[in-house]
Parts: sequence; structure tokens; C-alpha cells
Amino acid sequence: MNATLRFVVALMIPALAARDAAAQWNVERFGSARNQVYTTFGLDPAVVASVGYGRVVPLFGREWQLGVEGGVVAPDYDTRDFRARMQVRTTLLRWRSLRLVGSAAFITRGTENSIYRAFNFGADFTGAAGVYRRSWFLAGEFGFDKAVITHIAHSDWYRTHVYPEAKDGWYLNAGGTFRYGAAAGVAIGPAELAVRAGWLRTEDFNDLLPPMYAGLGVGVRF
Amino acid sequence: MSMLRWIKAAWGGLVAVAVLACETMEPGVPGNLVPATVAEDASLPAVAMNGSRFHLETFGNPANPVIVFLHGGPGGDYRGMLRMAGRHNGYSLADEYFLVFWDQRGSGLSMRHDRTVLTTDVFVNDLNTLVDRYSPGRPVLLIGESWGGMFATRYINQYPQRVAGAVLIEPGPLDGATMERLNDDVRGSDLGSEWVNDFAWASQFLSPDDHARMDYERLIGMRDGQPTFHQSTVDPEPSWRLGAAASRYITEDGQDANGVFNYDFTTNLAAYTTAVLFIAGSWSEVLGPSLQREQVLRYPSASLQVVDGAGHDVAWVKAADVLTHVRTYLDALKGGSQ
Repeated sequence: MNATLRFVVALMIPALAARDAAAQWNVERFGSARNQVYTTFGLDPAVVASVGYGRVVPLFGREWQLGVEGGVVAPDYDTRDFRARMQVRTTLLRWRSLRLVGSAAFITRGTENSIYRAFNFGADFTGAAGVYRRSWFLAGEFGFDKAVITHIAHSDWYRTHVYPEAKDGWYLNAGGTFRYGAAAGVAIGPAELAVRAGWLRTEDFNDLLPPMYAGLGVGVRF
Repeated sequence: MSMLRWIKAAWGGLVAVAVLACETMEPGVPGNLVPATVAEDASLPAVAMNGSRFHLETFGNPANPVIVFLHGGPGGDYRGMLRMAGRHNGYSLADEYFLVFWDQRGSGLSMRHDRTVLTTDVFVNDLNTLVDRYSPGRPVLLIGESWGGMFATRYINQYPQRVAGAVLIEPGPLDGATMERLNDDVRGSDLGSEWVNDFAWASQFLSPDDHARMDYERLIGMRDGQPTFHQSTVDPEPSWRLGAAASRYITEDGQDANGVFNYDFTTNLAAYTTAVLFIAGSWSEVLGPSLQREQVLRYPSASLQVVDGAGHDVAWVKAADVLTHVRTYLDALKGGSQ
């Protein structure tokens, strides 16, 4: 399977696996069309390309955007380094054009590098406060992404040349990342263009490399 | 509603996995992801000095002249230098010298430390104590590789009378200006490279919030992180642990508040008139022959030997050839002192 085909398959699997979906775009436009597809590209925390699908559903007197998103590390579209999210997003508080928006996501991720292969399950909780208008929005965001449980299997290379007794298995509380920054977007007809950028810190507020995230996304509602 | 049920089921699955994974481990516990150090494993050979514990092995007769080996990094370990303790072409350095291999402070299997005691001055003091311990009243020979060659130069710059001779195997830049010129090549961080993205992506799995996780994260770049060094892929130089804190804080100790390298290990080298041997691998691009031809000029009396068919790991993959040059150099030193 060539790299392009692997990339397409990697992006399609999460979209096909779900019947409803979600994304993090302009909540003011939830009522304009129920469905949205989108793609993003950015540094988060590696160079990542993602696609997603979102659907707005009314529930308990609110509009909730439910969605799925799948992404792979982009430089060589390495499907071993992937991330899939199921998420829900809604407005928690509103006063005129000002909104406090909350989202929660279940995440599963995988990676393979020179010393280990891993996958994990985690959760992401994000709050965003800002001005949301029909044609644009601007918000500050603060989020926490927790790696709840991680399975690690060490490579033969690591065992041979570094540490033969490295322990494979499930690791609890292996990591977590705080994220704070800003997001903005503009709408042109059914299309939206969104950007976000900010800083990353570990759950103990230590430095991370890279220290920031940034991304650009394009979505279409229908 | 069906989507809601699907999400609930997924969360239930997450909890079930967490509960059913009955033998979960903590990443920061010594021995899980990276080896235990001498602070946790009493079976490792170690000495106590200067409020710390150091992983250390010796070979040969203590009555013989002492060679102290200085590994690379900062933060690396002496495992990749051990072939120089072996017998090659019927000869071992241990036949004539007392060999001291040690992991520097916070490095390899030596005890971990925080920032306050991870400075170049503290490292020099540790080496001074080591020299007093194994070669009291008698100057030692130093063999330093990469950072170890820089460290040796830093020591010679301060204590020229305590060093009877030195072999510097592809030392890094001996002053900050040279490091600034070469820094991008030394670090080799290309945002499009696989290992850089592997390193960044890994932060979602393990946060560098304790020493073990910091050290483990740092190892991700060990195999592929410096392609211009041309290190062997069929016979890779092994390591026990890369001390992330030592690597970071010793590096930062050589920088000003703006992160510009401002160290200079050469200010007093004019006082050191003993011959010094530089060795480089012919394939090594950044710290190889071209840089070392500049750096030999920093010493009043130094020469360069280039070993064919090796990169920056020349002391590992071409240990016999390196030892031939080292033996010739040491024999010449003995002849000069007689």
C-alpha cells in the first residue's frame, strides 16, 4: 500500500466508524446546517493532518455538536502515529454574542518510534470563551488532555542497545498536557476557515518540546 | 440518541480497560522504562564523592599510570567507551595503565540530580576529586569523547598541571562562538524528520514530569537524531541512560540569559604545552575532521588522526584503530618523559 493510499485509508476509518460526529468550529453557526466535514493541518504537538465530521443534535434544550476526528502525523503520513477523537461540544453560558463553550473528548492514540510502540486512551476537556457571530468568532481557550492509560511495548533495538529489562505493559498516569491559546474563524457561505494557536505545558506545568501548538482548518456545513 | 449511547459505551470501555489492566505500572518507578541508577540499585559498581554516587568501574593495576575516561553527552555514559578497555591486536590499555571509567554526575547510571548541582564547575570539581582519589599527587591521562573531549579541555584549561596527556575523540566545539556557528548541525532538528515528529508525538503518551520519563523521552532521538554524525546502524554504540537533566542544564550552563553560547574552555590552553592527540572519524560531518583541524590549533602542541570508515562513534566501531593511535601517542609521551 503506497503512502497516499495509507493516508486516505487512515483518515477514512474513523469517519466511517461513526454515524454522527463533531468538530470545534463556530458554535453560532450550529443552526445553519446540521452536518459539517472539515480538515485541519498544524503542529499539535507533531505536524498532524486530520479530517473530521460533525453533526449538531438538539438534546436537553441545547444544541450539541457530536463528532469524530482522525489524524496522522503528516511528514510521511505514518499511520502508526495516529489519533482518533470522539467529542461533544456545546455552549455552556451565553450573553448576547459572548459565549462560554465547553467540549469533552474521548481519545485514542498510537505511536511507534525507535524505542517503543504505544497506544493509549485518554480524555480532553476544553473551555473556550469569546465572541461568536454568524460570520466570525474569536475566543481564548484552555484545555487539558490526559493520557489515562498507556500500553507500551519496547522495540528490539531498545532492548538490544539500551535496556534489556525494560517492562512492557500498561502504564497509568503516564502523561497529560495543558493547552492555552486562542482560536478564531471566519465564514464564507457554507465554508469556514479557522485558526488556533497557543502554548503547551505538561500536567505538572513543565516545558514541552515543541512548546506551542498551531493549526489551520477548513470546513464545510451542509 | 444512538450516538450518545455509542459515546457512553466508549467511556465504559475506557473505564473497563483501566480496571481490567490489573498489572498497571508507574512510568517513574526505577527500572520500568529506564535502568535503575546506583542510587536505587546497590549491585551496581559505584563510589561516593562530593555528596553524590557515581557509577564507576576500573581495570588494570592501580599502581600504573591512571587514565580517566570522559564519556559524551552531556548526560551520556561510558558504555560506548568500554571497547577501549578490551584487548585488540594482542594489546590492552589495562596492561600498562589503570583505567577509570565513570558516569559523570547525573549521567548514565550515576545518581540523578536537579539543576543546582548540574553545572560545569561542579563537574570539574567531581573530576578533581576523582583524580585525587585514584592518582593522588600524580597527573592523570584523559581520554574524552565528544562532550567528554570538551570536558577534558575545560579541566586542562583550569588544571593543566594535573593532566599528563589527553586524547580527544571528536570533541564538540571548545568555545561558544564555534558552537553558535555549528549549533543547528549539532542538534540536527528538522521539523520534517520522522524522529522529531516521533519525539513531539510522544509527549501525548509520556509527559517529561520526572527524571525517568525525561530520560526515556530523550532516548527517542538516540538512534536517528543526528544523521550527519554517520553513526553505525549495524553496530550501534550502546548506552545505559541519557541523563536529560544533566544534558539540559550543562548545556544551559554554557549559555547566557538569551540562550547564546558564551562559554570558552580555551582561555588558558597556552599554559598546556604537553602534546594532545585529536581523533576523528572520516565520515563524521559536523564534529569530524573539518572541525578538529580547527580545534587542534587551540592547543600549543596537538595533532589529528583521522580514522577511515567511521562516523562520530569511531571509538566504538573502530576501537582497534583508535587504540593503535592512542598507544602510539602514549608511547611517545612516555618516551618524552624518560
